[in-house]
Amino acid sequence: MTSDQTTPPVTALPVADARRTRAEILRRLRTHHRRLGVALLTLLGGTAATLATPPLLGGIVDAVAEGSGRGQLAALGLALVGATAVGAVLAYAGGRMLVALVQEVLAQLREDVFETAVHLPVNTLESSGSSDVVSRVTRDVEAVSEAASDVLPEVTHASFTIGLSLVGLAVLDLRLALAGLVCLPVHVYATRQFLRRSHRVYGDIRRLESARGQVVVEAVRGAESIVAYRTQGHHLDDLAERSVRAIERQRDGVKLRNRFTGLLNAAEFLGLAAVLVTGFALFGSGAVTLGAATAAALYFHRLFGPVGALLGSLDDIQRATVGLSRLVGITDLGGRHPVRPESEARDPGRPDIDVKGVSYAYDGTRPTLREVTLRVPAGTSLALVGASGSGKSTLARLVAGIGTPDRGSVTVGSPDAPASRYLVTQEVHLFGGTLADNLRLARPGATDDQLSHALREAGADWALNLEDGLDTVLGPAGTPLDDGSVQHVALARVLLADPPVVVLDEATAESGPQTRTLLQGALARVTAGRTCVVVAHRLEQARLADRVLVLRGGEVAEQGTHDELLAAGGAYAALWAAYHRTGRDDDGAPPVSP
Amino acid sequence: MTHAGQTVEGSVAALFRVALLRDGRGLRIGLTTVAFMVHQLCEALVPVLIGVVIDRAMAPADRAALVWWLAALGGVFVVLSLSYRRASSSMVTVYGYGEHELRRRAMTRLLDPLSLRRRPGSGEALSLVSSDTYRVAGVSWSVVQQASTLTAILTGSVALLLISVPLGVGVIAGTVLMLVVMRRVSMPLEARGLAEQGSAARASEVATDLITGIRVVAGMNARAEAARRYRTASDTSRRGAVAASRSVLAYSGLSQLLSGVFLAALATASGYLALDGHITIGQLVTVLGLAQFLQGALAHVGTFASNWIHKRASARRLGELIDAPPLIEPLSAETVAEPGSSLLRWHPPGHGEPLDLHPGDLVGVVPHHPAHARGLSDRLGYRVPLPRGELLIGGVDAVDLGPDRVRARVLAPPHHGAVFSGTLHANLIPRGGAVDPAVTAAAMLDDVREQIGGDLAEVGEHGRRLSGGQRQRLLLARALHADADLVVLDEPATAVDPVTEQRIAEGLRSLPSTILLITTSPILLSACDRVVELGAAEDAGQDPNGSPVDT
Repeated sequence: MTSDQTTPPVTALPVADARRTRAEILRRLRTHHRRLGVALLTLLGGTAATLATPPLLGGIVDAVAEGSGRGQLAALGLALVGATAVGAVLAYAGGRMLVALVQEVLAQLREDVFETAVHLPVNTLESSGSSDVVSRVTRDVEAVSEAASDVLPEVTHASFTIGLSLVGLAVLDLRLALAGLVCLPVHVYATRQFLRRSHRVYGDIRRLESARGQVVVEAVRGAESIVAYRTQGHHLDDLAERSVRAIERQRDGVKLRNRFTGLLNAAEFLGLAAVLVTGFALFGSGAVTLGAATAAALYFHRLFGPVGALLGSLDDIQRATVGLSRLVGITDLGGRHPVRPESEARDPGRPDIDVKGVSYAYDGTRPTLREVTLRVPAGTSLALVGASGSGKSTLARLVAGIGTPDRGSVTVGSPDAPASRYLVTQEVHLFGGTLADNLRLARPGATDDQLSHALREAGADWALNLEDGLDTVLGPAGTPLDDGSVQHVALARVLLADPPVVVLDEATAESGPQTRTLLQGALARVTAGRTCVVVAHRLEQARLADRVLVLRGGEVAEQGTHDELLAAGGAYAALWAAYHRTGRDDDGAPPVSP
Repeated sequence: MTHAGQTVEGSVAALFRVALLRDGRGLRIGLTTVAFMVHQLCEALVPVLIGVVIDRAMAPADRAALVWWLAALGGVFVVLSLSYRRASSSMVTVYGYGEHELRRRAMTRLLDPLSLRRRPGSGEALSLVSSDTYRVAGVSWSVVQQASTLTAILTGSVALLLISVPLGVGVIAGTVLMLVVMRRVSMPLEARGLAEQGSAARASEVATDLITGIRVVAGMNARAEAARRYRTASDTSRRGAVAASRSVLAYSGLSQLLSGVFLAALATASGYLALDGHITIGQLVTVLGLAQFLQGALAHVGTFASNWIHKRASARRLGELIDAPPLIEPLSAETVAEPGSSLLRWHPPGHGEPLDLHPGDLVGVVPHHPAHARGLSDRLGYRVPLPRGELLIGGVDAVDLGPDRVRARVLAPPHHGAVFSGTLHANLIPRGGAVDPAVTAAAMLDDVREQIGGDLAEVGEHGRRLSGGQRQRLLLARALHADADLVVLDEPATAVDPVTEQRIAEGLRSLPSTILLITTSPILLSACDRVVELGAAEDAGQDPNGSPVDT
């Protein structure tokens, strides 16, 4: 082993660039282009209806100035109500269509992201941190979804309002519209300046806030440990320090935004003054009516809100784009890691396991396994024994078909049609949902009878006696299970899946004598008649196996039957002797002398 | 703290006070509100001035008046801009520190040494500490924004009252009507929206669950099934999100419609008044500009009700946590002296005789059932209420010492200990200090230190860069580093292989610490000076001190 071990390389999951992200989103939207067109046209119609307001108000001014009758005023009033009603109805209808469409596209995207992520090689998932994947399928999806339902309608409405107002101004009088555009250079300047700097500041704020969130999450989850070590003060101080740092950076953000707002206000004044002065000149020369000049000023005043909303949400849009590029980064992996069809077919007969000259290194340099060769004849069992870091779990995973060796080969069954393998991992994970949900993962189509049968066969009668039977919700939200019981369910899953080859890297150690007896019974049933490789976390497991293989530093130290190895007097014999000295019976009864 | 006497309403009000008034926030928020009001006043003045420009400059073609009134408009814009900028930078401080204070209070309760009678699950706790504090702190924004909107409406009404009394009265009546109608509409909509937001989070839950368990999923060839389950959850979420958005759209559509009708009524009425000569054309323009401005303000008034419903619900939840009664009775006023000797006597429940622990002892305790092991560790860690006489430290009852002082003498970390992001060193010695090579050697941590790249290497979120076995050895070394009279270890070597476990057993023997090992592992028990079996003792009446096991 090298002395200057550095941390294993963390290969970050890819992020798509801006162009690729845009192309991908457009591609997804294009498949719904007709619905999208109808939704946008509806929204456009709604905005156009509400924009009838300024000219109608101008019409009221003109009607009064010209001394028209009450009838015309009433008609204008009704037209105002009509415009509002049409605007509100179309905005609602268009909004509904847009939201339904966007959420559909988004759901499709996140499902593709998940599908790709879940099929990534386990090594990729682990080296880049499953937390990165989790944060992409949760936080990034939520950020995009929020932007889609909050920002998108607002931005659409604002853009339409701005566009149509300019058209409205131009229809009133082209010169008035041009006057209003005086403010445009200021807007462009302000926005460019803001975006150039806001990216960094808001990026920092998000990072600081997420770091603060991290402290909160860990403190909440680790509350018992914190209390036991009386380090509450340390965690609260840490939280306070991070809060203050986030608030300080937010202050910088507000300064930027304030400068931006100041420039927007200046632009508003410039434009409004220009429209009024032009209106003054045009009305003076008789080119426009007083009503038209009024309508122009009101049009322009009406733009303040939408322009502010549009430019103000640029930052949200930027954030959503970052989220999208992280999502597209994953879906793009779909091509590179072809989704391998999972071997569903139940192979008749019992396959052999043949491992020849296998070497494997996680980081590509320091080998975990070196030239390992072994053979497990059909229907027999092999126990792997070794210290932590000796490569047992790695070997077990390679045999289970999770990962491929750097050198050498792992063959299970015939090389052309490899048999399906089932790995029970060391991780104890209770999935959310009911007992049936937990079981059906291994065999989605199983009937309730089959589930009950598997549980009974595994000796998990306690599970059948739960309050709601198979429909009992397990975990923190329902009936809590201890680790031993979760493992028991995991073993029942193996019986349900009924694979010809089983790899067990399962630690029954967490459980006490009673549960252990139950679990050992279940293990015996799981291994019976199947070709299996067992990572021995307890030495009893080695004794019960047909053959034992001892690993040391990634190499095979010795192999043979339990009795052969005891007779050989090597590492295994020494281990067994040390273990046996404890005077412990094999059934796990604790040593107590009367 | 008086727990029983406090009403829910009282705690909601108290939390709002924290967000609004504490630590000088009261004065600051007062000034900020004034600044926002000035801002809104100026915003309301803009349409008024547009009317004035048309009335006094444009209609009579008065060039000088145009210059003067445009200058006035410019002045209004300067005040408008400056007051807004002043107010918004002040709000960052008010809001940020208000939120921080609420978060600190919630967190302090979650880490209460006396524990809580009803502990929220970690998901619930997280949403309390993050989302609920965020919403309650947002009360400061609600107050200033709503106050300034009302100011705008008031300014508009006053301007209208000056022009025409009926118009002014009409605007005020319209505002009140809007508030009442929207409040009535908002309640059922809100309830539905909240439920739908809940279902929108479903996809995230399922994704986290399946990705966290990806090794198990991959092991059983269930990736396709996992993807199918996610699709179902994602679909539920999509429907929830769409339904929630529809509620919001309906609400804003109604608000748009009502304020539009209001604008039409006001415009027509003022047109009549102008036609009859009650107001001038310029005043009409002003009224129309104001009406258009007030439309926006009124739409905002329409959202007041739903805004407060959210905040009150959050404040109620947060209040329940902050006022929650403790699990362990707080100490009575008089404090007992620090116990002199470090002799510990523990009387395990259901066990005949007490168990005495002398300095340097390594004692094994075999629980009747593994679940029982967690219970024993909880008792020694004083995480549950203890009866008088169960645990004595130097002859002083633990109940008289209180949990904090007991934990300083007896360290009983939970079996599923937490690893925090940060360096290995920070996790190893959370209270600070130097690494003890004897301890890391005994806990078999030295190869872990080397493998992850030294004591200053980061261990990752929740220690994810460590394997289960590595994490357990880190937890063991952390416990053994503590400066306590007694270290209680609850099944400390379940995730390591027999070879490593054997070495850990030898390591524990070699250390001078006083250790109580709760375990059923024969390897660990073989290293103990004595072993006590619990549970069977009740009826058997065995040797109370257990039986020495030769090693």
